[in-house]
Amino acid sequence: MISKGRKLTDPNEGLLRRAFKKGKSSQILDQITNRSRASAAAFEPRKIDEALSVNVESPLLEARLPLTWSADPDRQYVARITVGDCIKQNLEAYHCPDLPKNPHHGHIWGLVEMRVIDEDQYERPSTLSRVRAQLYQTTPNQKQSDPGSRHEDAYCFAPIGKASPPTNRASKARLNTAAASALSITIRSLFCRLRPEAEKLAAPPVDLVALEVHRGARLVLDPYLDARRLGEVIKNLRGPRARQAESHQ
Amino acid sequence: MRRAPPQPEATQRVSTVPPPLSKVTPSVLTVAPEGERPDSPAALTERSVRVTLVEELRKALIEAIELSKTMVAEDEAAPINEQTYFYAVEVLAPLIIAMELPVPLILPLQNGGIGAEWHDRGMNIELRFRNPYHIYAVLEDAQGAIQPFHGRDPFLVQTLAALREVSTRASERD
Repeated sequence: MISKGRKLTDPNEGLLRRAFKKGKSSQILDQITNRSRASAAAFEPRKIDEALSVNVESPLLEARLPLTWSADPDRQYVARITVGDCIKQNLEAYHCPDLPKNPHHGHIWGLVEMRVIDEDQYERPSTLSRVRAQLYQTTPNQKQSDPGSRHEDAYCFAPIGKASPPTNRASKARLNTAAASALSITIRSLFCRLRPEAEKLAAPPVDLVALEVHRGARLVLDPYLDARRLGEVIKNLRGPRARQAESHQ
Repeated sequence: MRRAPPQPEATQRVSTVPPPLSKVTPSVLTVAPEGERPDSPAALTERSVRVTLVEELRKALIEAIELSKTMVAEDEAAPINEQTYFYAVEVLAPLIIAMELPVPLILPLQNGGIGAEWHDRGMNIELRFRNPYHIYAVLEDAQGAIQPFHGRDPFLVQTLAALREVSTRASERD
């Protein structure tokens, strides 16, 4: 158990959470509030964490440091919420310096407990991931030489595809050959990225055409199916009647 | 737990008005198999849009892997869970391509899961893949056509309606 430190009670006190950028679009434009906010992933504690790490605003300002302090401007941005936001969600915020590395360090307690007690409650938008955080970003040019500089980054969404009339086409069976084969190649390359040693495999990890054949034959594939075993006839996929018949033999 | 049987497919409406040729059209020529000629400019365009979508989706998925690796290297997240990742790809890719949806923001979650988010056309759609079949969905619509939904949606029953709405709105405005 780590020491909680000094409890923060001023509802206006700022708490700054670093989040990783992904291209230009990690910050999202909330369609309900029409404001930029951090994605849900920004306020996720790790499995090993007891609390969510943040920086506390007032010690940063006292030290004349920017709110984006300790964030890598090339890869990260900062989302600011307040102690008041935490209190509203039945969470507690503490200033607990991590000396000598980070005297401005703090923790938000309660999220991890929420995740353990009720996973769905943790996911609900009442949690911090949905607080309308202010977003700050130090541009690479500014680096961290400009204390207190705040820049709300404009959000840019990927261009939308040219859609034909919408229909109920949510099925692989409706993918045309070109898209299906491109997707098969894509999945193979993704598999290789996740597991570089898989490049040695001759066959693609998942073949959508094969998948479709299986589906047409009314076989149900399990998500835990090892992709390298595609093509093998796996006994437990034969269904209860087939298994019953086998056991009688 | 087993996957739900495939839904009977609804009759596919075919557009009689060819969509405008897009700048992505040439890409199909490099991907379409030899000898397979499209029937019409509309078919060509639709095919090229889908192939382009696959390419955009591929980029987004690769970026998610790269970001996950960065986060793991800095001890900011657990490694991405392969099963969950490919489950998400398996679920999302056919939907995105068949419905011609914009490619979502795909982000690794800190405990090894994967998230996909659309924030467009008045809709907030967030899917968090914690494990295969453990999908938490947040659906919100500024126009009120889709009822707000926050909960588990393992077979994407609620999510499909929201995605169709996005697809409809996209086609109406394009």
